[in-house]
Amino acid sequence: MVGTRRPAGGVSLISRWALFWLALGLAAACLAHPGQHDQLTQINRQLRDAPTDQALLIQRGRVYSEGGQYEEAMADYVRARDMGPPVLVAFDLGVLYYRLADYARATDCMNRYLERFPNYPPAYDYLARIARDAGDYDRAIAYLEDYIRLQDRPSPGHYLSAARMLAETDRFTEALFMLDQGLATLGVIPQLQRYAISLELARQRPDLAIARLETLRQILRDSPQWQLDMAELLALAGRGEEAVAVAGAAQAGLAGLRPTPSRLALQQRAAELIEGLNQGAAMTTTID
Amino acid sequence: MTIKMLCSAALAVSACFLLAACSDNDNDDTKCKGDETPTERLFLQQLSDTSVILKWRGEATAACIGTEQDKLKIFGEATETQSGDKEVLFTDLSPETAYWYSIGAAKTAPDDQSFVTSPEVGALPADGNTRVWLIGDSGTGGDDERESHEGEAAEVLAGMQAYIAKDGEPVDVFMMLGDNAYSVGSDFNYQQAVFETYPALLKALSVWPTIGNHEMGLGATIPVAGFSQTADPNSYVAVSGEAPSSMPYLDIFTLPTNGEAGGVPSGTEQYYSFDYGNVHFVSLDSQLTARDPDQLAAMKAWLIDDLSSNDSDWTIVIFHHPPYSKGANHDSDDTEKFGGFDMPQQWMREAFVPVFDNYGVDLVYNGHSHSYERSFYLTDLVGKSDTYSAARNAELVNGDPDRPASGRGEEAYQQLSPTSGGVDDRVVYTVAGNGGKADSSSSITDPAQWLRHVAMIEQPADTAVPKRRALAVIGSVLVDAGENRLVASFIDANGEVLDRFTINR
Repeated sequence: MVGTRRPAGGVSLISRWALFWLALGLAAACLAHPGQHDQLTQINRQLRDAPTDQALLIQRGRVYSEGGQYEEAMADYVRARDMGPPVLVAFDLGVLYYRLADYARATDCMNRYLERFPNYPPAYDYLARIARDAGDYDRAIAYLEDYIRLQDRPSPGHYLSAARMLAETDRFTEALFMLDQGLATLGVIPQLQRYAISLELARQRPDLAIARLETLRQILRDSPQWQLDMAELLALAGRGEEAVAVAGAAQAGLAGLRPTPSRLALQQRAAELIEGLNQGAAMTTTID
Repeated sequence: MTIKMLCSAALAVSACFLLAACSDNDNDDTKCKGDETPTERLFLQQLSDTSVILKWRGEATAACIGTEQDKLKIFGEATETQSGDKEVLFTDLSPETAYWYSIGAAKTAPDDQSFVTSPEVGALPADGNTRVWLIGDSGTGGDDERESHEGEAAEVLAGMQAYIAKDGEPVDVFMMLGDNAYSVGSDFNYQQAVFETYPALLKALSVWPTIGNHEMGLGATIPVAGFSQTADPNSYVAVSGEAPSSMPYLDIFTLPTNGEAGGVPSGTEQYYSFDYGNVHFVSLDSQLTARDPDQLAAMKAWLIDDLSSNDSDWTIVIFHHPPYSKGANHDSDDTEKFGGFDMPQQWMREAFVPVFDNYGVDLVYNGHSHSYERSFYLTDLVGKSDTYSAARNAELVNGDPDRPASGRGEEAYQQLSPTSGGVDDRVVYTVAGNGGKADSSSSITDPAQWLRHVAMIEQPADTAVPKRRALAVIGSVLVDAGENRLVASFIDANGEVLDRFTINR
């Protein structure tokens, strides 16, 4: 057979972590929903042939709802309820009520939908948002757990999303609990552990942040990036001598690697951290 | 997908979790006394320097492997996946070593069932070269595209085989760039377009795929194949009106989630990385993960950690939606059409191009557009094509802003870019979505712009006048990654090289 082998910078450390995750969150939030006009054109064309088609009315209501045209969305959903089983409209109607901040009606709709389709994860996601916005955090966490439990293959993003929702309201303990659940389920992965570290820092607990970063040492191959992150956490914890040593190890490691923009930035961070520590300025360091 | 081999001794939980069934290989060769058993499909997964997964569909419930064809000694009991397939993880193998195997646990392996483990991470293969075969949008080998593209995927395979028959260098790594099985990525589509199209390769090499838009079946708002815009793999719909289910891709493949084949654990099969000798590979998910802001952020954070921990000679990234393309149906400047189903092209460009630039990625391969487009050696191009400037974005010949380097002949690229002052901050982007069909005319993209993205290199082999910055023929890509030189070639269905560039280090 042919084709195969045959046998033969100037921001504080806490701010840096927080800003990193904040930036990721903001970048994500800026992604819009384009193409509404195309979608409406297509659905309207189909509705001309089938004006009582419940599924089409729900689809169009969804497009309106996502585009912020809530009155039009409501009109379509109300019509759709008369064109088939009302329960099939309940989820989308619940989302619309949530967007209109009518939490009581939104909850009622979601619960009705879940009576018919008890294993529909997005309904739990919205119930969690409703509970969170209403200030009922315990209930929000319970719904988030239901949401994740129903995922065939929960992904890191599910846990991050849930943890972020909790952290937004300063529920750091619950957010960390959610992340630790993810780490127990998915294994030790940097996406979750790094967010947990940022939360530990937000709670002024650098020692716990260090312990969490330590769990990433092997999977990140003790890389210069990991070493410098550790050095900065050590500095923040007041362990300046250790920080200098670890930052020095990062510098030595970087010297043997081909230069990339990220490695050049790490070299600068390491030099500035060491210089700052030697001058007694342990709590802040210049980062890229 | 049922085996999740989380057997890293260093992790707090020492053995396996999730749905895992750890490897329980047995060196008692008296167990290798079964009969070779026919399979409907048979393929390797997660081949590394020390382990492999054998996966098949059929009656057999065990397998044996060994270094001698007629003396198989290592026995493995299979676990059954959700879809009824069987798989066995074999561990403690030796790097770059040939193994034979039997499905059914016979003592003797058939002539066509063997593989070679990867070199140790970071090490060059014994022959000094890692050869990678990449095909995109290759999934035309089944009933759904038989009428319009019968035999074209097989022709692409034959073209690659004809080429390597001439130089004798076998393929080490097999990658699929998405849209692997038209039209809806169903199990049946995969049976025809993958398992019955590349059976010999799949028995000898681990296939490393990524998710294309056709892996997710029909769209919800637009019930047409390839138009899904959900981020949820459980909302797969193959037939309009049917209840959503989980996408077959994730059942068919058993992909690394915990760094089983190198790289940093991702915690998900939707994106992952692995090592083969001196090359680091990353497969990102531009179809599902990119559509959810939180999940995209998580994938990006993981990628930064993965690349920061990587010091391989070369790094290759694959995903389906090209950041730069003027394909017939997929214009990276016009991503909002049809409800925004091509938005991942823009999102991936904006979120990930800076990461590729900053963290040492050498090559990016995509599919989606059914043509071959290969870029200049780019840096810092996150905008649409009208923001491209050779002086700012391309590697230059002797610093001349009017002469972007082609990568060919004396214009070979240097990994440490002279234009950037000796820093590794540049990437070649290639669209190779012509592994099963090639568009012969523009249908959605403005015909005047079709195959003329300004960041792409003009192709001398193009037959159009004036020549375009792409090739509208079927074919595939071979990458040869040595210690100091990487050569990437586009091979047509006749086994001829129509484009080639070199990066030296």
